Formats: sequence, C-alpha cells, structure tokens
Amino acid sequence: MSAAAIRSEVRKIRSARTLLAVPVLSVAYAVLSFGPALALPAAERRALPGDTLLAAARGPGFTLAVAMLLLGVLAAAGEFRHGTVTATLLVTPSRRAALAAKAAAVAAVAAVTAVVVQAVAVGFGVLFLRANDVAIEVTAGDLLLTAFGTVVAAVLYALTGVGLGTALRDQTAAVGAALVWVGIVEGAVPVVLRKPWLFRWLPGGAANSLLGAADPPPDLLPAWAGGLLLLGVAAAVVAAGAAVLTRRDVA
Amino acid sequence: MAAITVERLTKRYGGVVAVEDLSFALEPGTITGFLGRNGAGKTTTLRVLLGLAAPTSGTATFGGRPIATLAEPARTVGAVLDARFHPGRTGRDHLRVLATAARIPTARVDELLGLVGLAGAAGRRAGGYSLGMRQRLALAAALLGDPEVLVLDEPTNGLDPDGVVWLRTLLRSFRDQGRTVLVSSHQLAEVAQTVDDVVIIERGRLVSHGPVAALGAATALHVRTPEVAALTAALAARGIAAEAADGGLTVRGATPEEVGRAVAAAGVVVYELRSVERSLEELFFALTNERSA
Repeated sequence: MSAAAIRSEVRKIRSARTLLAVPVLSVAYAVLSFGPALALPAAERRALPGDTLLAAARGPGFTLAVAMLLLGVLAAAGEFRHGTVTATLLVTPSRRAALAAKAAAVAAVAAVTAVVVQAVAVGFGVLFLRANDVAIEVTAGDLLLTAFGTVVAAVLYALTGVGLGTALRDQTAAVGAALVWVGIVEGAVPVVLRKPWLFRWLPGGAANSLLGAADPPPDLLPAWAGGLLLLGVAAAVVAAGAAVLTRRDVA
Repeated sequence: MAAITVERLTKRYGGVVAVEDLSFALEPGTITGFLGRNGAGKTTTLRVLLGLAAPTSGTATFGGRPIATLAEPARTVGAVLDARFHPGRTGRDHLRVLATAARIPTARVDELLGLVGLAGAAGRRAGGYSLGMRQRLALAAALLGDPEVLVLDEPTNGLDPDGVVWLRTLLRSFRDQGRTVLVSSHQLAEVAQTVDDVVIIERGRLVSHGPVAALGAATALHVRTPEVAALTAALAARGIAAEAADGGLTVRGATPEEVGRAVAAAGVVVYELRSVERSLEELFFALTNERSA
C-alpha cells in the first residue's frame, strides 16, 4: 500500500458522481434530520430536556454507517462492474496493495464524512437549543465520545463494505446482501426467533453501542465491546475479500 | 534479456485448456503480431502476462520479472485490454486516477489527451464515448508511464481508418525508440503492414513464431498452359509436385528456374510463369489447419 495508491483511490471517489453522492447525501441527511425538531411547536421546543444535544449528535450515526457500508461496496464492486479493475491492477499489480489502498481511502472518506456529519448535527443542535432558550446539559467529553463512536462505526462499516464488494464482485448482489442484512436480518431475526438479546451481538447492535458510548443503551454491549465486535466483523470480511481477490483471476 | 518471455505457459479453466505449453520470447525494438482465431487463447495469454490471471503452470515475464514484482509497473508496461471505464468519470479523470497511482505528473495526462486526439472530449463522461474514443482513451492510459513495453489486445477495434494509420505510425515510432510492442489480432491484414514478427497460436498452442517476411516468402508459382497433363508429367519426372489450377498449374517447393527448365525439356507451350505470394491469411489458415488436422 502506497500513499500514491491511496490518493488515487480517493480521486476515484471524488471523480465519479455515483460514489461522491454517498458522502454528500449522508451530510444532506444529517441536515434534513432536523426537520422534526423545526416542526415542533414553540412551547415543546422550549420544554426540550437539556441532554437533547446528545440525542441530536447520535441521531444520524446509524444511517451514516449504513451509507458508508454502501460506499465501500460501490467503490469495490463497482471496479468489477465497470471493468476498471483491470486498469487499477495494471498500475498496482499487487492485489493486496490495491485492496489496502482502497480500504484506506474509503475509510478516510468515511471518517471525514462522519466528522462533518457530527459537526453539522452538534452545530445545528447548539444553535437550535440556544435559540429556544434550552440550557444545554451535555459535557464536551460526552460529545467527543459520541463523535468518536460515530467515526469508528462509520469507518468499520465502510471497511466491511469494501470487503463485501471485493469478495462478491457482483455489485447488485453485494448491495442487495448489505441491505438485506441491515434491513431484514438484523431487524427481523431476533424478533422471529424471540431472542431480542441477539441484536446486541450483531453488527447493528454493536454500531449502536458505539454511537451511544456517552450514554450506553441498556440492552447493548458496552461501547468498547461493540467496537471490538465491529472490528472483528470488518477484519473478517476484508480478509474474505483479500482471499478472493488474491486467488481468483480478474476476468 | 528479452522484453517479454512466455515460458511453457499453460492455463486451464476447469477442464478446458485455454493455453497449453506456450513459449515465445520477444526482443526489444520489435513489433510482434499475436495472431490466432477468436478463442485461440490470445487474450488469456495476455491476461496471464499482465498478472490478471494466474497461470496453471509456466511463467510470463517482462525482462525476466513477473509484473507483480516490477517496482514501477506503469513505467515498464502499458496495456490496452478491454477499454472499459467508469461511465460517470470523465476521460481526463480516468487518466488522472491512474497517473496519481503511478506517481506520474498530471501534466502528462493533458499531453496524452492531445496525443490521442481526445483533448476536446476530455471533460466529458466516458459513458458517452464512442468505441473509437474508448480505444483512444485506453491507449492514452497505456502510454501514461512512457513504458518500455506495450501490450495491446485488438487495439484497432472501433478505430476509424485514420485511427488505424495513426496507431500504426505511433507503434512504429515506439519500436524505433528500441521499445517493444505485442499486438494481438484476429485480422492478419490489419497487422501485416505494421509488425516485424508474428506469433501464431491455435487452440492455445504455438503454431509459428518468426519474421512476418519469412512467412511471406513461402511462395507458390502459377504456370498458365493449355498442356496441363504433359507439364504435370514433366514436372513429376523431376520430382516437382503440381496441381491443376485456374487454366494451368500451381507449383510449390520449386524455383522458377527449375520449372522453366522442365518446360523447355518437355517442349510444352506456356503462356505465363509467375510467382504467387501467399497472402498472410492463406498462410495462416494453411499453418493452423496443419496443426488441427
């Protein structure tokens, strides 16, 4: 993995609208998610509790993580869909180096996006609460912890996406697998099996424990354990992608 | 040291043999045509050479080194394979992406866009490019690193006649700088005017490797005569095989002098004696049919 290869991968994301749209829309989502707060009647706004800011900071985190999962899938599987993997590997023939560069670039974009989303969420939250004369009862430490959890979750989801897209190669299948997992498996399986505690052991639960680092939700793992679990998932999926990429011919 | 060495290369897909025990070496300063019918194994060979497919056995190297071990691959090898691009990325951005990875200054991108005649279209998304424009962009990408070796898979696909002439001129100047070109084609006429040497494969096996001129030298003689039977007998008496063809005889494996003496000795009437250059196409089919027979 070289710095040049990573810069090249970042340029790929910046220069294709379908890829650049993912971080841009993630920030847009963070902005749009203030809609409900703005729609509140003035009396209810003034009656908001002092720790609302923490909820605002945590709000867009999970959608952001899923978006970064998709960014990783699109960045990796898109190379096969559009045939650009050939040109990529001619310049960076080491498959491991090529994958590492893409993973690093997508992770960097995810981290920057997460920081921007956090800045938007907290910045708006502060302005909104002050405008409504709500005393903010949230420490900077808790905000930093939430921001840190958001960045870590976004980065680990992004890496998982790169691994998934590299392993499956078929972009439609990889996007479908990601959405089915997030939307159906994690949501439905614990309910269908009547084992709600299962969710805490799934990536979605782990992501939520990271997002809630400052105020741990009762049914989930502690943030550090959730982070480790997500790290393990990302490492396993990226390793699967690396195994497929190094063993299979690029047709 | 050969610029490209393919040594005992075999590639199987499941039970299907795409390339079998293929060996050839190309010297610097040559343009070699890599010829074979569709499905003969040309693209598979090039993909193994370029590190995109793993050989079942054997090796394919540049200056003795597999592509994955080259320190600066883009400065050693440039390749045109399938000319595919992200449809939403502009031609210029496609080249910038590759130039960034290869640590090539961005100025080189605009230089190449001009060279391949895409300066005007560089800011447009590649999804809207014609086939010819795609080939030109792929060529620009191959030339980015000013490489020592060019590997081109059917590069004239979609190029207009001007483009073909332009490419020929480009490849010759490349060769004249002591660099090496391997260009595959299933159309012999297309490369016959450009290449110095040919490597011909059929069913994944080497059929022939040598100067294109040597292939052309395998000529036949046509004798136009009303006395076909008498001349056939006279030639046969001298051990020269001939077959009736087109108002006379076609003779192979004999010089015009030998045939002329046989004509004089037999006292037959001859209207015309001329050598017939076998076209590269005829030669190719003769060679490959011998192999598959």
